[in-house]
Amino acid sequence: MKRSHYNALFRMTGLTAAFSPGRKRWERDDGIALILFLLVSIVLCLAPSAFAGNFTQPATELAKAIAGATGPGAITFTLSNSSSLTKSEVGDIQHTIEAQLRTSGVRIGSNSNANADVHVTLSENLQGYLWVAEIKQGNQTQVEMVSVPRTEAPSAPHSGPSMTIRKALLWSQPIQILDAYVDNNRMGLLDANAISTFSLNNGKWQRDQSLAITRSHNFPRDLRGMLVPAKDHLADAYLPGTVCNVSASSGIGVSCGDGDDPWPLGTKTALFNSGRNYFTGELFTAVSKASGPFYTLASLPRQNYSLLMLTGADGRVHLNDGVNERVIPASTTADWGSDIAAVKSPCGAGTQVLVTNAGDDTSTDSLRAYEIPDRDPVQVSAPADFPGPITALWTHGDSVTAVARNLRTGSYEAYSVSVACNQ
Amino acid sequence: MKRTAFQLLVISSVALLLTASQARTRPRYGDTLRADTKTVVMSGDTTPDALVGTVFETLVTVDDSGNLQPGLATNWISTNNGSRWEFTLRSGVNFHDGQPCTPAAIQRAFARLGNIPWHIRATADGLIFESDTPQPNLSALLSLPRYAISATTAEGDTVGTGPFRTDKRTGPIVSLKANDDYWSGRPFVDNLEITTSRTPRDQMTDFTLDRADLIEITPDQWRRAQQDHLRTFASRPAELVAIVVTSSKPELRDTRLRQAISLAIDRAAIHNVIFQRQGEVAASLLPNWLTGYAFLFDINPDVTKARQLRMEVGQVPALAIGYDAANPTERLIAERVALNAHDIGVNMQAVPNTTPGIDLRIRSVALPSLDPATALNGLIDELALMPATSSPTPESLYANERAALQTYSAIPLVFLPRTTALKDRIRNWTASPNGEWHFENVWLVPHSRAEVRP
Repeated sequence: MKRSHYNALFRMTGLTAAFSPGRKRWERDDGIALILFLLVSIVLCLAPSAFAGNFTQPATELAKAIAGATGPGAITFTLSNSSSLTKSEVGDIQHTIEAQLRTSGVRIGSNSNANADVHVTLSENLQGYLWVAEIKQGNQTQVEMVSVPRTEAPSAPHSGPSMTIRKALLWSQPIQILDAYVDNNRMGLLDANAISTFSLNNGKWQRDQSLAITRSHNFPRDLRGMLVPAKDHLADAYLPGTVCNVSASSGIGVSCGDGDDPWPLGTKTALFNSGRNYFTGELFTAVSKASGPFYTLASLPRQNYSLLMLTGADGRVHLNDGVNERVIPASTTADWGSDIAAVKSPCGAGTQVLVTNAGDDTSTDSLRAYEIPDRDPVQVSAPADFPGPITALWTHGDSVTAVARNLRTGSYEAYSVSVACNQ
Repeated sequence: MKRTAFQLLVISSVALLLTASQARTRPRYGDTLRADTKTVVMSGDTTPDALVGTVFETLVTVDDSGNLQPGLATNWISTNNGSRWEFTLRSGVNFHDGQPCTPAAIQRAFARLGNIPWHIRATADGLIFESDTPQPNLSALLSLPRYAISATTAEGDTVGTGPFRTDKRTGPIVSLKANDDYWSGRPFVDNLEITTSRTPRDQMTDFTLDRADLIEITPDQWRRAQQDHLRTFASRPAELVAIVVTSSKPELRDTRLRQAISLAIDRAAIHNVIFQRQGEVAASLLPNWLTGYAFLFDINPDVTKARQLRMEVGQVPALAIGYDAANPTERLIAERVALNAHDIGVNMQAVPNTTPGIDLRIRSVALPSLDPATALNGLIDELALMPATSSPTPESLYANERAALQTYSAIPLVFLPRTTALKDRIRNWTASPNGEWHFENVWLVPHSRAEVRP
């Protein structure tokens, strides 16, 4: 946690220098930087105590176990760290243990007057931290252990050159999230097993209902699905070979059935291959030229038409204006992933394409915004990092829903992603 | 001039092809993945451990963080202090021959295993396990490969429920095909060809000649693989190399002599010299990354105490320590242990395992589970140590492990990583922290586009 804030400070001050052409701007930015510095300094000062709060209870518990074993009196006390805890966290933990020992009537002294030698090792295993106290009294050694769950530090935000990608975590769960959309204070979420509805309560999403998806066949691996708000009922869920209708006539209900209805992708609809992880390439409404199989599609409005950008199953990125199709040079898209989505914003051309990064499911991912002013895409934002591979990216109105599988926790995290203009 | 232009065109085309191959795509379906392994799959072994998770599945699985996850059972509950367990089964699962994987079918699968300490009853949607003694760790125990579920077809073949089905077994080659109806989604590769009983040298030859996409590499091949810039994956130190006492000589039945040998061994020297500091020195059965307490077992030699214990035993006959003749590393370990034993006045000779009258053997045992309690029970079972209780708390695991090692019937030496070399065309490669391969999420880039690593 503390390290992240430190990085943030470094990045912010660095950015100020990089984008300040004139002296007046320097002065203004110096002021902003000073305020930021003070704010971050305050956070840095508060951070250790906040973090130590997570460890106070187990440190107290271990100290009580030690005191229970030694009884009141003098001991020698040493502590070593063989875990991934930071130096400051270790210091806080040691401080807490020593304070609790004193409260329990145990004095920490030198060898000469000690009736026990206590050594604490801050260790860790696959599931979390394990703090081990070895208590030596004469020839006897007693061992006390406390298991402590591991906590996760948040990642530092990124800033970009002309536009900034903003992401807000909507929901996180162990079951694979396929899609989510927010409609005022309500949220719908589609996962591999169910469709859930949420309401916003004191700034936090609360699950109201979860309705199971029934199906008569197995879904493919690399499962994909969309949840789309509907006009005459709540929403439709599109899954490979399955379509579900979410209604709210007498309480919320879900009815699913086998079906290969085309999935809505912006102004177009497209058939999805129910046994695989891509669209067949058959697009409906106003594209005369057939496309090959593709993973995702971004629709970019032009004056009299929509320019479609498609990430093909052939590994190439195609541009289709309804009449002609061309491939963007591989040198431009070499580091692109296969998931893209169009997002509306008040900046630039008004619509950008969010693009995932190259890699596979074992690496972290990022989103970058691109515009296509002429023929080739131009990057207009810095990357926004995600804690794992992005497994779904769908456009919902003016924003985009991105789902990432957090490599550290294994949970799926749904984010609402938008693009903001840099001032 | 024209020729120069053509050459430039060719160069730029190749460059474009290379850069294009870097792009991530969602997983691609198709192709055959070829893997080599040293694991021996006996022709009569119908559900070999090597195919568990691939062809056969268990009721419960353990994820990479050591947490239990649903397998063929979706949930479970224990009552009566762990004497009664109720498992609810996943619906809609079929064996590879199409017969449904029902509670009765699973009950029959357990009955075929024989000698299990539970009474199993099938219910409408699950199974009930009952035992006279509490089994608080039963759910984790059922994740072990030995409890993989199989069924027998009308033709007498053994079938599983996993992501791949057995197509044919030709000698050491096991050919598998993707299970199109797999309950968790068809795997991406169409075929999986596993060549078993392959020596490390043959595996490397297969890899070099592009006859295998995936091989195991030994500690002595590791450095060379790095120099050759092969794409490699090393697990956590998860393979225990230990000495196991096999002799019934009266002197070796004396714990003091076994302890003396253990105290005489310079494990750090074995780790530094023979294994070039790969893995870590071991004095426990389970590695520290799994338990967090392994450092409590002392790894340092104590020659003075060893000599004292050896003197207390009195006359000790010449001892023989056996090694696998096909494994040069084992021979080096055996020779070094014999040297250490000599330092405390024990005459020990390193001999191949085939020599009669062996007193101690070098054994390598893979970590059987990522659940610490299950792993400890598995190792205790494998090394024929005293039985352990199965309480999963760190304190009781530590007490069990210490008790199991106090007999000095098994003397841990080092933990080694399990190392894999893989072709650049393999994507989504994952292996468990203990080095088990997972094939179901792997996909392959076509040969022509696989030059650049993911």
